[in-house]
Amino acid sequence: MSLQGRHDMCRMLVILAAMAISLSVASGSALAIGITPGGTTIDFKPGLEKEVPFTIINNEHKDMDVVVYVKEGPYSDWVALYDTIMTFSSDDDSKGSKYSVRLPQSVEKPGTHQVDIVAMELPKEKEGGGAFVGATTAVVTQLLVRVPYPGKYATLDLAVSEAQAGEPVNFFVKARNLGTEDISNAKATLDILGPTNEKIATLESGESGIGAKSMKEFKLTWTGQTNPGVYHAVVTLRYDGKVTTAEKNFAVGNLYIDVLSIDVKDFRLGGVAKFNINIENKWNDKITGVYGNLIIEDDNGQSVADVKTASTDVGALERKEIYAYWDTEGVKVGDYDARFILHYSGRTTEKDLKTHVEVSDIRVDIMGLGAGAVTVETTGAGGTSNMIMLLVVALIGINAGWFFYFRRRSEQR
Amino acid sequence: MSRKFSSWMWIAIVANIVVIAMLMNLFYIPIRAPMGDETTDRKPVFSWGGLQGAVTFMLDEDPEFGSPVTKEVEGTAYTPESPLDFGTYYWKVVSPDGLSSPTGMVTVVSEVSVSRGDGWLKNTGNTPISLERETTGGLTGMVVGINQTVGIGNDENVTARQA
Repeated sequence: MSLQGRHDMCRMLVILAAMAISLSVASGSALAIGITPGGTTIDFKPGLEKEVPFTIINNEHKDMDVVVYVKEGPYSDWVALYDTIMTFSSDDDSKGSKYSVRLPQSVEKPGTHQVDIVAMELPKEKEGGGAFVGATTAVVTQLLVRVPYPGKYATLDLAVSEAQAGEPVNFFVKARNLGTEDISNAKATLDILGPTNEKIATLESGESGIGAKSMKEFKLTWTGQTNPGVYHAVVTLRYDGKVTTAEKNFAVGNLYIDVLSIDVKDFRLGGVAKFNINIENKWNDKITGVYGNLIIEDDNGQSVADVKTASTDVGALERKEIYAYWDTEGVKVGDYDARFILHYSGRTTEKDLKTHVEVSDIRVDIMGLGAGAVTVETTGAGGTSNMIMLLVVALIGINAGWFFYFRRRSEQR
Repeated sequence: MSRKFSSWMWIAIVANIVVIAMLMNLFYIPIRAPMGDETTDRKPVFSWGGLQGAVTFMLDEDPEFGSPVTKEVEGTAYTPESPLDFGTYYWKVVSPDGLSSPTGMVTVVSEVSVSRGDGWLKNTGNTPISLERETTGGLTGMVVGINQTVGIGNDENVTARQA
C-alpha cells in the first residue's frame, strides 16, 4: 500500500473511531499516551525529502491501540505516514515509527509552517460492558518548516544562567537570521532593570555577522553587585539598520530573610519578656505576611512557651525589628533551649537559641553566630595528585624490590 | 624460573597494572554519560571519571565551546540546576591545570504526554502543553504546565501539543 493510501485509510479509521468509540474515561481508569519528540524543526529547501522518526509512549503499560494521522491543514500533504495503527501490549514501553517529508519546490509565504501528526489512543473496550462516555485523547508531534524571509530577518531568544548573589550572571542571546541574505553587522545590547523598572546595568556584545539561515550566540556577563531578587532583562539586536528585541524576567539567588539578632531588655522574672528580633530581607522586593514563632523548652524538652509575633511586611533589603512576648510567671532561673522560626512566602528561616534566664535579665544566643569561624581546608587536585604520585613511586619501588630479590634468589639456587 | 618466583612476578604485574590504571586516571578524564544519547530528561546527570578533584564543567550548544555555561564541580557528576532547553548540547570537564576530557554530547528532546482520568487530565510530559478541548459547545484551548492537573469533562475530545 502506498503512503498516500495509508494516509487515506488512516483518515477513515479516525472517522470510524470517532463515531464508534467506546472509551472508558468515566469508569475511572486512566488513559495515558505520550509522544516524543514534541516537535521537529527543519529549514525549507526546495524539493527536500526526509524521514523523521518519532516514538509513541505507553506511559501506563497497558494494552491499547493508537491511531496515527496527519491533521488536515494547508501543508498536510507535505507529510506521509508509515504506520497508521499501532498496537501496544502492557509489556511495551514505547514503539517507534516515522513519517516522510516531501517539500515543494517553492513556498510563497515565509515564516514557520506547521503540520500536526496526531497519535490518538483507542482504549480496549471495557470488559463486561457498562456505561461508556465517548471522548478521545490525542498527542501531537509537530513538523515545523522554517521558510526564509526575503532579505534579512533576525529573531532573538534570551536565556539566563542561574546565579547566587554576588556571582556573575550570564545571558545567552541567540540571534537567528531567518532571512535569505547574510547579516553583515549585528550587535546585542542588554538592559537590566530592577523591580521598579530602574535601569541597573547595560551590557553590550561585540559586532558580528550572521549568515542567512544561521544562528549566532552572544554571551553577555553581568558582574556587578548582584543582590538577591527578581530582575528584568531587555535585549535589543541591531542589525544592518533593523532592530528586534526580546525580554525576560530572571532571578538572582533565593528569596531569604535572615535573623540577625535576638535580645530582651528591661526584664524582671515573673513579668512579660519582650524579645526584640532583628530581621533583614535579603530579597530585592517587599515580602508580605512575615511572622515568627518562638518556642522555648525546659530541660525535659517540654514546651514552656510557644508564642507568635505579629505579622508584618518587610521592604526590599530592609532591616526590621519584630517582637515576641513571653509571660515568665512561674518560670525558674536557668538555661532553656529555644527555637525561632520565621515564616514568609511559603519559606522559613530557623534558628536554634540558647536562652539564659536570670532574675533581671534574659540572654539569648543564636547558635552558630559568634561561635568562631570554621575553616574547612579542601584537598584540591594538587593534593590528590601528590598523594597518587607518592603511591605510584612507592609501588614501583616495591615491585622493583620484589623482582630483584626473587630473581637473585632464583639465580642462587 | 621457580614456581615461587613466577607467582611473585604475577603479583608484580598486577601491581603495575594498578599503577598504570591510576596514572591513566590522573592524566586522563574519561567521560561516562551522556555520550551521544537522546533523552527526555531535562536535567540529565553528567558523569565522568578521573582523580582530578575539582573541575570546571562546561556545557554548550556549540561543539567548539564558543560561549559555554561553566560550573565549578567537586566530584565526578553534575546535574543542571534548571531544566535544559530542548536541543543538542556538548559537554566536557577541564581540570584546574588545563587537562580536558573528551567532548560528550546529549540531545534533550521534548515529550508530550498526558494522563487522563475521571474528570481530570495531567500533563506528564517534560514540556508545557497547549491543550485543545473539543466539546459540543465548540473548541477551546488552554496551556497546561508540566505536572499540572486540570479538570476536564469526560465527554471532551482533547489534543495535546507542545506549547
